[in-house]
Amino acid sequence: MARATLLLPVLALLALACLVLALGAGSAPVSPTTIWEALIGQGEGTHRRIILEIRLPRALAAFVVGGLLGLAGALMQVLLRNPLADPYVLGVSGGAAVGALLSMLAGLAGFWLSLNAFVGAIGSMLLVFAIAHGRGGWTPTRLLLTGVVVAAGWGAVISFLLAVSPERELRGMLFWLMGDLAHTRGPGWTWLALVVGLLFAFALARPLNLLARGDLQAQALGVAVGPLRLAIYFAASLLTAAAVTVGGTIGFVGLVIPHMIRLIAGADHRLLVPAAVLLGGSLLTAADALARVIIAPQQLPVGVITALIGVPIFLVLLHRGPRRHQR
Amino acid sequence: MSLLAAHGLRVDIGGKRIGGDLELTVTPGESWAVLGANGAGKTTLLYTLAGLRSPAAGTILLEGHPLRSWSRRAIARRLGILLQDSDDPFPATVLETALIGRHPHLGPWQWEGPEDTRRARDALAEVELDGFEQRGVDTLSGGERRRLALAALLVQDPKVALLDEPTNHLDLHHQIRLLGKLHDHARARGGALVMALHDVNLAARFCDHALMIFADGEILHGPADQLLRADYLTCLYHHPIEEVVGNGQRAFLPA
Repeated sequence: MARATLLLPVLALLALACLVLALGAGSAPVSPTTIWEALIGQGEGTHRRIILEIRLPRALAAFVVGGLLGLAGALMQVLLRNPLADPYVLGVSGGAAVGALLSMLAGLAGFWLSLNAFVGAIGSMLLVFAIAHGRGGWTPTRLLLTGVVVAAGWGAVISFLLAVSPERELRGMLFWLMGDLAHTRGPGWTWLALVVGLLFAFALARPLNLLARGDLQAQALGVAVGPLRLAIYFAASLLTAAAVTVGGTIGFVGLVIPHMIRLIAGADHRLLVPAAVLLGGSLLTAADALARVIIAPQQLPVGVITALIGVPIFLVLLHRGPRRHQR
Repeated sequence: MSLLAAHGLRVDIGGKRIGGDLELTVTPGESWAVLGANGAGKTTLLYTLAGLRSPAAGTILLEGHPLRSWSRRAIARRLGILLQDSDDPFPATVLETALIGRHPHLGPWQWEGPEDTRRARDALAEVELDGFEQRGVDTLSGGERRRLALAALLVQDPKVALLDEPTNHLDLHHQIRLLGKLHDHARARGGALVMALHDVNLAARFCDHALMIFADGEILHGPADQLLRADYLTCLYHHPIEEVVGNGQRAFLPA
């Protein structure tokens, strides 16, 4: 219990540390004192401008996308009652990718690209919902299979688009598909989505705990399972849509962050939900900082780094075993 | 007053009709055994009585009011069901699992307090799982999991408890002890038990009423001492069964 109450403050500190790291790291390294001076409005011009106008918006964008993905992943895993589920498993990101790649082919960028990615994500969400909901039985298995098949369909469309695209577009497309924060500033509405999503999930945390034990069990203990599952499906899909619209399909965060929290602190969603937001945001912020410096002045797509950091951490945690074995 | 009642109840499973016009009244202090061969529809009947499945026809009354008129939460405060299986894809401790029984009693923003934890610990002690509180559920044996599920039901503390094969995986000692406890508990506080059982002798020992579902979907129900007879049971299980009396108890032996 003591461990659980400590977790959130520790993760908040970690988030802060990752943000400082992200502000300091780059092709022009900046010391923590300079960062502090810039943030409180002192210090000299260039560094201050780099920090306030370039690095801070990007670090915040990384944090909000990471938080969205961590939260969406936790919700998807409960909805599908499948530890292997991630925010992309039901095809939301595939729809977004098709929208984004088509925009690139049409020579669109910026706002229009984001808008089309978002429209693709929402379209895919509604498509999967309509097919899976078709004849009553909206079981986790049916939903999962529908989503996986639709996602596979998007995958084929994506391959097709890559195959017919001119070479000069390919690099941008691949970066988008791997997840890339280079052209992004986390717009205000993504923060709104994150806060609303967090409040939604936190308010439903105890019903989520029961739903994780199965629809029947949850229903028998007084949860209105049907409406709850619908709400989770739409919430998780919208959070995912917001994340991919900003950052492309950054992998790994949504799958692994919820498991990391479960291994550290157990599966109670009242803790898991806020912790997944903080840890997801931290991981992606740190990963994006690394992506900017590893082969500077070149930048890597951040999705590469999330996997490179996440895989070993996850394997260590898994090897150490969850807390429940320590009696 | 009836705790749980069914009027004109009919349940369909995969085209098979069970019951048709079933009239059933469960009153405080009663223990019902639901008997039938594999696939006869015992679980489906229990699900329907619990409101987890809609009946093909008829109504179910909980404390005199149609089940549909209750919210899920209000039902769960009065009626609980022990499911045949529990499965946990995500890690959970024994104490957390016992505490889920408090869910219907807590407000949406309320957290479990010391009183809830005390109830959970008491229930774990009742099923002889004290000392297991911090163990992971996935480290438990099948029988221990069964006892944990029973503990969660004890924590939920419903007036009407529907039990789907409660003795699955339980050793002899726990079968007798836990069914005895549930029976005494229900009787003492005016509750009722409805349990699907495979062991006729447990039914004869702990249940005062029986409900038999035959292969053709016909249902026979009434006082246990009238229904638990070798000829009915032989027909129910399609296997010759004899009645013997020893130690003042009736027992049924398959030939």
